[in-house]
Amino acid sequence: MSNRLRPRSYRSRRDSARSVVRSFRGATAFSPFQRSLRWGRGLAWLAGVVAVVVLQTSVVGRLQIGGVSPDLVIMVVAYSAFRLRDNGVIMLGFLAGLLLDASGTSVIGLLAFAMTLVAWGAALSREQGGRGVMVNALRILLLTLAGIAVHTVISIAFGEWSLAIWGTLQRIALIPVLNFLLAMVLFPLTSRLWVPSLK
Amino acid sequence: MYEFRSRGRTLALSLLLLVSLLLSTLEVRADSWGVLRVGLGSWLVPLQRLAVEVFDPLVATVEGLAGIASLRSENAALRAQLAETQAEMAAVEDQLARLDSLERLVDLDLPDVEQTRTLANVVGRQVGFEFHLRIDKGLEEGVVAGNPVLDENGYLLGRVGASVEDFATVIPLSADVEGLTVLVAGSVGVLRPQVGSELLSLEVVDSPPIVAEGEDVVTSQLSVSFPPGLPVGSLVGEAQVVGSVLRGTVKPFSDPQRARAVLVVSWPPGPNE
Repeated sequence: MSNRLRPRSYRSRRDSARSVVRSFRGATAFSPFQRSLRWGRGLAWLAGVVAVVVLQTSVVGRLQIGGVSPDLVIMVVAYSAFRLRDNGVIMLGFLAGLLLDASGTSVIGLLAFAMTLVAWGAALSREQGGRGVMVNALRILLLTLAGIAVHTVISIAFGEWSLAIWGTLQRIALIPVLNFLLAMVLFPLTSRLWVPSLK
Repeated sequence: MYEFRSRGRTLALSLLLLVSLLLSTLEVRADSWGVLRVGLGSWLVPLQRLAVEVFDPLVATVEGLAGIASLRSENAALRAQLAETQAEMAAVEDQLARLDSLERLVDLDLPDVEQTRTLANVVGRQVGFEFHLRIDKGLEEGVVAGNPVLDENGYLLGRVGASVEDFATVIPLSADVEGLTVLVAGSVGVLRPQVGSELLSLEVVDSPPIVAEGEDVVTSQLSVSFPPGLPVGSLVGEAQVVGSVLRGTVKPFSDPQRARAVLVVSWPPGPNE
């Protein structure tokens, strides 16, 4: 997309974010300090994901709207793509899924599989996340929908027949909507994370 | 450079997906494969307890607020359910009363004459200038205009006014413009309706008898339209003798407003009856 076609607010936010990144990155190759900074940032995101997984499995699950709760883990993985590079996002998604698997009773690895794919999608759709409230919320909605659908399919493939079909349909329908609404509410906060052209 | 990173991303993605599938396969195939779950889950539990301790008041507040809303909606749903149940109960009670009426009509003994009887349900009431009942039996069941109609106690209710194939109308005594020949205290008289009243006017022209309040009035043998001896009503108030005419007021035994089922009698009987 040509720069002239992008909105002025998009370009201004992109320029300010690039200046922030440039200040960390420097002009040349990574120094050991910069590498440790990147690892530190990754570990900080990991700690955040652990905290969100704990909240999701202990507190958020009790706050139900229409029988379901918003999936904060998917949202955090989606937002991590604004600040982490592709491999970091994918690794974060895998670990988040693994933690969710460990805290539940279903077959371990199923949510890890689904969350890894969600993280990959989040990394691919990183650029769309900064294009406005609605586009970012739609991105979150689609990622949540994809995550639930992949988890459902892989669960059935591994013999998790305890999934009630109506409950599954309800989840597939409502959780993405809740995440969509939450993403719209949180956009003023989360848009600050967005860094354009982060590969 | 970008291609290299893209290849690295694809490699990492494939590797992690493979690990996920491997973990799932091991969990399903190997029963003892629970070390990872125990290891990860064991240190998540204290964190979860801490989170619950910290956020429990907040969650309890939100749950309380949500509970109020759900209680309101549940209350409204229960009220609707109660109203529905009450309506069903009323319908069942109505059906039971109708069944009771029909059973009593079946067991009814009519005086003297054997007639063809037809049980019918009252399915409607026409209120207006000409009050009448609508019953669910008509010409197909042998109900014809002029047939006497009795209530569940065997009291004369009226006569069939009009009949079509599958329903008929019943004109109660209090709304029938035709007079009814009756017998009271051994004398023959005529009953006529009073406008705007449920009571009937009695006139006995031939040899007025001595009657008292509460005297029963039955159909006369001279009546062409009704079998003899059917109870009609009883005298209310004092009868007055004006000249050679006795005038009184009769309250019918039957109440067309409460009739749920009626018995239609074929009258006059046919040659084979």
